[in-house]
Amino acid sequence: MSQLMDSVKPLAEAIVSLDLPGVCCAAAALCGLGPGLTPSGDDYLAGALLALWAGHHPHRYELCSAIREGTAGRTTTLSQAFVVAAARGEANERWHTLLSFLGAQSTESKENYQQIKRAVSSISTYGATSGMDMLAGFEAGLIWCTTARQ
Amino acid sequence: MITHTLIKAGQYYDSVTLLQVAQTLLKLDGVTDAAVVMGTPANQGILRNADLLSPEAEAASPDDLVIAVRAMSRSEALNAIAYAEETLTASQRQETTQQSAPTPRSVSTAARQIGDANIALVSVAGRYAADVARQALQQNLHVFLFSDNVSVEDEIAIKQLGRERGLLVMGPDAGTAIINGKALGFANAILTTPPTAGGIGIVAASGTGLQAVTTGLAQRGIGITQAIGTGGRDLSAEVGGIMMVEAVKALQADPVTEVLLLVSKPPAPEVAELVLETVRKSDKPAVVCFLGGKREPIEAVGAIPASTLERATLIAAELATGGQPTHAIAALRERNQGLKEQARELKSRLSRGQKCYRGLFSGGTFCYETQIILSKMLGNDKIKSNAPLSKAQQLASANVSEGHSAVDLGEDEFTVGRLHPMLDPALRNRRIVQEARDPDTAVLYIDVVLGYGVHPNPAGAAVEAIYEAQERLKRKKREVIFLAHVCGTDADPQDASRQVEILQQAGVIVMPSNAAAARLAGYILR
Repeated sequence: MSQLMDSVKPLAEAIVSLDLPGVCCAAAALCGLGPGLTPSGDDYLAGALLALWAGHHPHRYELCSAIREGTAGRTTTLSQAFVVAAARGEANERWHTLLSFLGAQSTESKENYQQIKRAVSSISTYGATSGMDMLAGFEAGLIWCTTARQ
Repeated sequence: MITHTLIKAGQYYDSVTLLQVAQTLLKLDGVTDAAVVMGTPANQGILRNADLLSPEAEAASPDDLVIAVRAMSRSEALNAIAYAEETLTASQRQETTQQSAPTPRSVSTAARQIGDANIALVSVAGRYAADVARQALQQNLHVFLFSDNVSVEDEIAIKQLGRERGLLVMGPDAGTAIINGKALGFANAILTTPPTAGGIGIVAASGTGLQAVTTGLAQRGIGITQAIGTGGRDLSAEVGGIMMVEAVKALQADPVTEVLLLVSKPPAPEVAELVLETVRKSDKPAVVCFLGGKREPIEAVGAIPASTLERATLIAAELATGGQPTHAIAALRERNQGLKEQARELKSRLSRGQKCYRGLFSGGTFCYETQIILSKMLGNDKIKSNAPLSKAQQLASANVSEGHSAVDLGEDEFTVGRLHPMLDPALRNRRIVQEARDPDTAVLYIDVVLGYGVHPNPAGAAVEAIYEAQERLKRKKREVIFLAHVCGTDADPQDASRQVEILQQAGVIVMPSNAAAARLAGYILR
């Protein structure tokens, strides 16, 4: 859905430039966008929020706050709950599994690689598109974290 | 072009269903565009851009489902909407007609649904178990608490609540109970009174202990009224025997129960006193098996002490059939004399270096009982274990036997992330081969526990390893004496008699009880 992709770019730019009001606005535009009980835009945001935590973004507190604020009242109650949880760094079991393998000592090992693959696969089948949407957001979020540390 | 909108408020439809509806709508005759989305501001923007935003859609809130359809004609639009409506309604109905009633999400709903439920089985993770047990008690249900890792504080609290409400709390870590003839947890097919002779009411703070006495009685054609499990920690100083006391009182008041039988490891002294006081007040004959405990306090309250599970079974059997406990005791003495003879013959099969006992247990109480017997026969400091009688006898590693060793394979170090040995024989089988390889091993014992919910053929599984061990031993020109006992009944899914046969065919000497096997081993090795 091109509208979704169009809304992702402003978010990325605002985060990289640490433009908090811009983050808030971009999150508001993404939030509630798309099909599903948890609209795709929300899932993308949730994934990104988790990445900010997992990747230890130096400004994760402010960024998560800004994103959460942007979502207030703009999506379903259910989806909001997930986004708010993700803003606190909380996730479901499949995400915990993935994060534990990503955080493992031997991320280079073949076994660990297989474990990560399986964990990602397990998330990707979640819901209709939620899992994939979250993974997309998560990937973006990790990139923002890497950028921030450079 | 006609646009029609359907708003569904306050309903939950899962995303997969919504996606399917959306995809199908687009395939319907005359439909040129359709959207199935939640009424969020962002989605309203999309609908507006797609010319699908009707006044109703505009007025929707984020929690409302908006179905918007544009079609060539009014009838086609209405048709599409009708389809969407039907499909969504059907998806809801499906959830509830798949079972006879909606799946309950709370203890109270479940209790209401069943109507005459009087017991709840709780098997959630330990830290949530007390809460769930409490809910059950508040619904006036007795509780069978299978969960372990429940804190002592939680246990005390829910047992006190149970006591207040006149309800049983069996557990935590309760492996077994048989209530009104129904087996809970790991239990066996036994006989209940009526219609058989018996009338024995059992209270046990030991799962396998309960299994041992109930199956022992059943194999003798004697029925029980109830077998109440209290969980292993009930008789500790902290918990204070709350449930054992309540259970004894309940059995005392039960018109069908004629004989009481208590089974436990020795309680904390003040708790033993409390329990025995309750027994004293009973006018029914009572057999008290505090494994390895003192006789005098039991005799002082007019009850009959039994030092082993076997003894307890036989004495209770006498009482239930109008016989004399002394008969049982005399019979056992004679039997044990016979064991000495048997031991002499078996000893001759051993080579000089073979001096050690290796017991591989799936039942913790059997491991405990064996240690008590062998300590007396071979010396207090001679039996090591991963669940020893005293700290000094702790095995350095549970995976490696030293000297005489009794290993409880059901202990935590063996069961984290792995099934209990009663369900999965793999670990014990590997250990059987390992012990047989050790030139010190003279006697190797396994307890074979049958019943509902355990391995479908424990004897069959064990003899695989035993045959392998015997192959290796043959090549080394050595023999190990394999002993076993089968805890179960012929009515069990595994059929005790058949299990005995399987073991005997493999050259295993099958003893009638865990105590008998321990005694025989003691005679062989001393």
